Amino acid sequence: MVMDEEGHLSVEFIITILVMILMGMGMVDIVSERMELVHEAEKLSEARFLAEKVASTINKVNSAGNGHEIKITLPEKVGKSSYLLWINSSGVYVEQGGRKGKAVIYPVTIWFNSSYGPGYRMMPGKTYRVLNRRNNGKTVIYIINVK
Amino acid sequence: MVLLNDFKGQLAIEYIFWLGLSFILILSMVNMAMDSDELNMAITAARSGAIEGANMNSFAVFPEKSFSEYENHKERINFPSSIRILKIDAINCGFNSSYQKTKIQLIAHVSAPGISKKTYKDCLGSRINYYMRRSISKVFETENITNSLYNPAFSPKYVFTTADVRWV
Repeated sequence: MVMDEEGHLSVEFIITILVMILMGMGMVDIVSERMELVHEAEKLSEARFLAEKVASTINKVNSAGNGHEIKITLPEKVGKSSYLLWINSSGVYVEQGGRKGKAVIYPVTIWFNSSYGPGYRMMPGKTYRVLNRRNNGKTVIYIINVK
Repeated sequence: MVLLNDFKGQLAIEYIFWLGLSFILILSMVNMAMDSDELNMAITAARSGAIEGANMNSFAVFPEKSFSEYENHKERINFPSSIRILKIDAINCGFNSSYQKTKIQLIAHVSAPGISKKTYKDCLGSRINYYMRRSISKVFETENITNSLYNPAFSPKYVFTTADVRWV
């Protein structure tokens, strides 16, 4: 056949491609929904992980006794979003995108010294020293911003 | 036998009949296929939503209002726990004349071995149901025709409600 050299597509191929495009279009919403789900799960898990990491550091320092110290650096972002993290004597709180989580710590007096932010708030991207010091016979956990 | 006009491209009558018949058959099946596709999309969206709700429950990172409520009255929920979606049943409840759509009731079967109190399970189950309905509304872009709890959730031909979560 003379015309065959110009490149033809069979009808079956064209129909298959059309069906695939139609199926793909139908799946776009579901795929984007799933992608969003994965992103949300990433944010939730990273927020939880961070709160647990800080709580675990405080617990370790608390149980290791007088003079023990651990340095901890907080990440800039959690799940590619900004976040807030603060501490009181019962737990570590993380807040991100209007959602809050708490990781519990053994009840202990916490003394916080930071040049950034109010009260017991820890700032993203900063490094802190978590120290155990006896003060008037009581264990006190000092959280000091170093850089 | 020599056909003089054969080079102009003719189709056999049998072929045309088959083509016509296939066309009619396909047309009658398209509606059915589109309904199935819509329901399939809705159930997939419901599953995504249920997983999102279960993730939130598992990681115990909640919207601020719920978090405060749990911290004061239901502290166990604020601890992470293992929560797994086992399956989602879709029950066809027939045509609903008030919505002029077919009503589908979704029932999530969930496992949470660490949670035993009924009040806690109710809170976690409500969240899973909420995210199932929300996800359906988002996929079909029907957020504007439902209420703030996305109850019921709509697709073009179906209306979705959720029953209490079955704890396994």
